[in-house]
Amino acid sequence: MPPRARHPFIRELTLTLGILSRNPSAVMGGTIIAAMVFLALFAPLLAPYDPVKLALPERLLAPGAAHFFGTDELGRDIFTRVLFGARISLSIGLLVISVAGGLGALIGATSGYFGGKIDSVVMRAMDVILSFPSLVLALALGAALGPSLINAIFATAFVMIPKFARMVRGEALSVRELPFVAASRVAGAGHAFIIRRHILPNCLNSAIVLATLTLGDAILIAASLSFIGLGAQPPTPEWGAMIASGRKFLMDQWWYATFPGLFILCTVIGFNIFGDALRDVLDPRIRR
Amino acid sequence: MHTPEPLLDIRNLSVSFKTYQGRARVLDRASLSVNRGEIMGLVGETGCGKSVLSRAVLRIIPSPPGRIDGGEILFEGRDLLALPKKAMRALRGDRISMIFQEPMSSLNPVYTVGNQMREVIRAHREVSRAEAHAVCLEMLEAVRLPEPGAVLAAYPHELSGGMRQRVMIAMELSCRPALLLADEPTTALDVTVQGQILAILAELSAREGLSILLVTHDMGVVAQICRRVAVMYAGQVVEVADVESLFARPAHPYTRGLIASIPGRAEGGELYAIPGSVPSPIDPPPGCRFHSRCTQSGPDCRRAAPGMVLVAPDHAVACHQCPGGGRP
Amino acid sequence: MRILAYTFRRLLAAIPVLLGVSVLAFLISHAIPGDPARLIVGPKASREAVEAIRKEHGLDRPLPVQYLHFMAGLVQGDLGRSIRNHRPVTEDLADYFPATLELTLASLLLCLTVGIPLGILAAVRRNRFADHAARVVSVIGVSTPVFWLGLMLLLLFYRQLSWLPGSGRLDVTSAPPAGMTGLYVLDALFAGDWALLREALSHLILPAFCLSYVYLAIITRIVRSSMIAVLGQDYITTARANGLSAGRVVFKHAFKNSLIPTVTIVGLSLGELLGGAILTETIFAWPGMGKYVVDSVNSLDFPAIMGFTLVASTAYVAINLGVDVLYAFLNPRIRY
Repeated sequence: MPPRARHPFIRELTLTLGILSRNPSAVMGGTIIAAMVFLALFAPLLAPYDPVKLALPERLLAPGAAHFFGTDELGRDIFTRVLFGARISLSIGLLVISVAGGLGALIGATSGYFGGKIDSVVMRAMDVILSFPSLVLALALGAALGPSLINAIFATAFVMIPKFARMVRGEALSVRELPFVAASRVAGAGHAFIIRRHILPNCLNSAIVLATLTLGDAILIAASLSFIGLGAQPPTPEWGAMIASGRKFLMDQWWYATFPGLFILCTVIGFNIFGDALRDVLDPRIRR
Repeated sequence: MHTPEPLLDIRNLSVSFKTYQGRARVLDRASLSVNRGEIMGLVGETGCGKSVLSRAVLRIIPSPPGRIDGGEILFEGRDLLALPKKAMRALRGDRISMIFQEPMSSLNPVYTVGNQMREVIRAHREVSRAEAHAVCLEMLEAVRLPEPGAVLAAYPHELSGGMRQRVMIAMELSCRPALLLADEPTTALDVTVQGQILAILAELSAREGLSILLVTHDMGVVAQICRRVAVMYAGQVVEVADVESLFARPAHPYTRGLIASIPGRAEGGELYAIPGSVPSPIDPPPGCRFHSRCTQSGPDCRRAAPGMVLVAPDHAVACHQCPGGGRP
Repeated sequence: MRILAYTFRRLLAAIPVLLGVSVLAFLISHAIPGDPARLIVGPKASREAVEAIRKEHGLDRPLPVQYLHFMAGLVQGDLGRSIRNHRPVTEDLADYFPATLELTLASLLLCLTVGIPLGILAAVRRNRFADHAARVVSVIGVSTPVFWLGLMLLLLFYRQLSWLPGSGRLDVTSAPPAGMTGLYVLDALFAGDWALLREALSHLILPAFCLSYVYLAIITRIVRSSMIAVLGQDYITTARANGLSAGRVVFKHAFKNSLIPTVTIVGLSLGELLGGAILTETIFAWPGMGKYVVDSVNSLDFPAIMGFTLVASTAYVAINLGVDVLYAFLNPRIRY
């Protein structure tokens, strides 16, 4: 029986997954991420209470059997809100990365491919964005756009665009010198086609690593914005916003601010550890 | 007739390295000696342990993976392996110096040449900065570098490869050592520059009575300036002879293969290569390490490692099959 | 001489960057969806006030004209007026600047005096446990939300242990030291007021540690990895072969080379430190620019926010310029 021919992408994927499963960091990070995703997906099923319904008689209860993480000043179960917060934070992370990655990749690919003046101007613009400390710029943007979760997502994404743009531009610069690109042009391919078919797929590995590593940062910035008051607005159970509310009650009701922060910490650790391991595995130099 | 005691006498030196696959026996009871005032070649292919041997003399083999398993290194009568660390450090750069293969990276890029050279001198001698500076100028002139003052004020990256190697020689000889270990000093240089560097080494040796252990894989370099030469294979010294005797009457089959491999030497115009490949140091073959590739191996060769035996005046070989040689 | 020329060139290169910063800041305040005039006066102002502001600031003129107006104000040091107290933003920022400077400097000092030796130690005493420990600490450091860390620190050291105070730069009852710098620790030191010095330090420790936590981990890690890389270089072998002492090899030959990548990272971290200061000052009620901007957010005091943004990014550009020059100082190869 001849061996089954698999699509090269699947082969590559299986090979990568195999290597990853032997890497303890990857396994640990991956497990944490999987756990968070699970909690986020099944929050409505796992949560014992309603995340937004008030229950004033139960306000500010300490953690116990009925309320694992205690309750907040409106009587809402913090464990439930933390679970729903996982949904929000993970969605924020994904959205930010998608927007930043998508726009960044487009900008970087175009800039690197066309080179010359366009490249200079675009890269200068990226440098300008990078001249602001990330939180400061996100804050200014978020304030200008108005306090809301969507605006916070956009502000965070904006701040992260340069990283992706630079990475993809680097790839574009090296790929466009390759013979098969010239061959494509001769065969009549348009710029957009070449960018889409040749440049972007080559960036895939680096893009995945970058995305995983910046997801953690994205969650942190978004949580910081919510903490300041610019992101999620009440009653949304976003982790950063919960910490902001919990701060008022910190001294006597320690649980309120502690648990959401713990979850932020774990989630970001998960993405960072996994991203580090992924980078070690996918690094083209190491792979050879 | 009383032959003077050799300056450097390495006896049965064994060195091993810890690797993922096990312990690699990189040097196996290697012995050789270098006399005063002579240039001794140490030749062998990549991986035979010649660099390790020269570094073992200075005891700069990185100690976690590397380990000296046995033997003695006698320098001016003292066993270097038994010396306390501080005494060893005093010797380095002062009585025994070393120059390396890569002049491009052997000098610290963030300090000037003068800074680094003066530092070595002042580490071993109680002299003022001005006095050290004067010595540096003198040494740079000895290696025939033009504008020594400018060189001293320059950073390494501002000099060419050949110039850097001359600086290295000047630096290492500034304390007038008795022995210079030269680990492939010309391998990374252009052919034209190679000749110049070798000429400088030969001249300094003749003038100052400096002994040089010249490690190389290039038989041509050996022929140029060495008086005696030792041949190494897979961690063992297999033949030691004066240069003429070695080239004219190579005794060990490996040496004969080496010389035959020199392009232009083989009859018929075809390139000759010794068949087979170097054995792994982690699991070396029993007995003579060359026997699996040797055209003349016999039953003895697999059983026991041969000892060094004289086959002619100043020509010793470790081989069971050589006339007069073999029995340990 | 070469370093001066290099510095001058970097300074020139910084100008277009600063221009770009001003353009971006301008676009954020004038070109976003929504009403820029309302941003200036705040959500509570009447419609007539909004229209008046629109006329006064020329917000109905084309965008490039507005930009010129904006730049004219900038070069005169006019950052607008705060909505909350109607003072010029520049005056507000000047008031709060020393506190932020003190906190940032203290954090930087902590990062460097703890991070660098720790990194060197980890590199020299290299073993698998140290490698893993360094990596773990570094990952946790980078993943910690600064504002949450501050709260946890308060819970532990203020609430539970009562070792350290929980807010402000001094006790409520104390008066700040008379002094020139505005940095209470320094002023108290110069005045010889030991009690006040102790007090100022005890208030400074927790916020400074909180702020430096993330970057401490990063700096330790970069010092360690660059030291390890440097110690494997040929010139280190040369130094050892020349009989130089271990101390000399590590602290003279290796250290300067390892600083080269470290300095770049420190520069980047400093920028992020400015951002982290926003959160840290809020948690510890530290009266600096960071707390100022958060308070401004709460009242949607947009001119104040933009003023802070411009100051922070200008400071960041200046810091990076300094880092570039320091880099050239350390690495003679790039002075061209």
